[in-house]
Amino acid sequence: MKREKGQTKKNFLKGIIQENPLLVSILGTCPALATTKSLEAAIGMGILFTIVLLCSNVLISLLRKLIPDEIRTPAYIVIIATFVTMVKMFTNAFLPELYSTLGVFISLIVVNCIVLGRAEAYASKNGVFDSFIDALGMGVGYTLSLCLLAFFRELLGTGGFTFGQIFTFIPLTKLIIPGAEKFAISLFQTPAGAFIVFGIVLAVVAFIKNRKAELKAFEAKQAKLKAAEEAKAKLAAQQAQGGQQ
Amino acid sequence: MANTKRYVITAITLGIIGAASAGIIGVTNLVTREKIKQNEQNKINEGIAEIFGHNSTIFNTQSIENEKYTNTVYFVKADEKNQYAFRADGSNMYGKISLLVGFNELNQFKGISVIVNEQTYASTLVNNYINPMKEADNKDDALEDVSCGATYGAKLIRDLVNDARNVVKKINAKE
Repeated sequence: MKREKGQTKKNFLKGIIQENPLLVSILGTCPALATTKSLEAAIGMGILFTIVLLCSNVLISLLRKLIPDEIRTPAYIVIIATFVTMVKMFTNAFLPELYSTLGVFISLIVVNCIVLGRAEAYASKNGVFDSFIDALGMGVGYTLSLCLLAFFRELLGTGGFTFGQIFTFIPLTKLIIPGAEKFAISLFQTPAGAFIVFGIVLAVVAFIKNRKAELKAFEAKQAKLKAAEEAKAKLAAQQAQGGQQ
Repeated sequence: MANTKRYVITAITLGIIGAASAGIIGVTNLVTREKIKQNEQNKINEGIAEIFGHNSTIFNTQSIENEKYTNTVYFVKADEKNQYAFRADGSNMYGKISLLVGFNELNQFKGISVIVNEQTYASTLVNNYINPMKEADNKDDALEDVSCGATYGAKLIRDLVNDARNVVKKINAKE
């Protein structure tokens, strides 16, 4: 099958912008609120989520013709659970700090609706390469959204950023914004703060989306008006020509 | 007949997927098991140092079994005195928690260190209950103060510590 030019790019970008799982589809909000206390934890969660999504999408796409329709969902859940268990074990072994920070939310990737949703809606109907790109786009989109929430929560809650606490292979670095520490509001580090930041970010995204739609509608209206005016002018010109004859 | 064939195919497919998953998880467990064990031992050593100080050493361990749990008592030499650290594991509907509970030579609660915290409100529990307990002058009073944002988890910790205290008392009585 010949691929349309730019289709791969479009497929990848849709997960980051138009169909962003967290900010547009509002999926996977539980871990998004719980694991965005620090930028490092958000990056860790995003990476683990992307690995699970990539592996499950690719395998489900490979097996899509072999799995009977009746057992599609249980088979997908078993596949996703296997990858989540593997990721959990590897994280516990090689990144114990990340494992203890994310805690139960690593296991909860199994029931994350984005993973099962992409398996059902995309990987079960498309080829391996497309499913891989779709998962990559969705994973990157979800990771970036988590990082956006974590950026504001850590900055407003602590007045800066700390790196090296979870990813212990990098040296412990504290980036304190001069003066910001004095104005840090610890509420943003709590679940309530997570809801507030998430709400504001969603409002901004909705505002941008609405503005875009309004602009599009305005442009369409302008184009319609212009076309009507042109048609009117053409008609007037024709009438004038008829009168002369 | 066609239906039977379909049922068999469905069952076989699901069976194969399940078996393959079990195999993959088994291999992953084989690869990571030693490293996880080593990480846990490091955490226990760090916990002992946190409770009893950096000059403390484990000189003996004893496995404790009853109908509820199998846990370990670490006999620690710190400040020239024999003290105890009890590994307490427990879980509730919010997840699992493993603690190292330290007692001095007089059976008084000395300190606590978290080994595994898979509770949903993990950080709330640590910030609002475990950390204040570590910093409190009277740790026994702090143990009873479970009015934090994760009361259910805090109660589990209190029960685990009290369990540990009973076990240590029994060991002392035997000695």
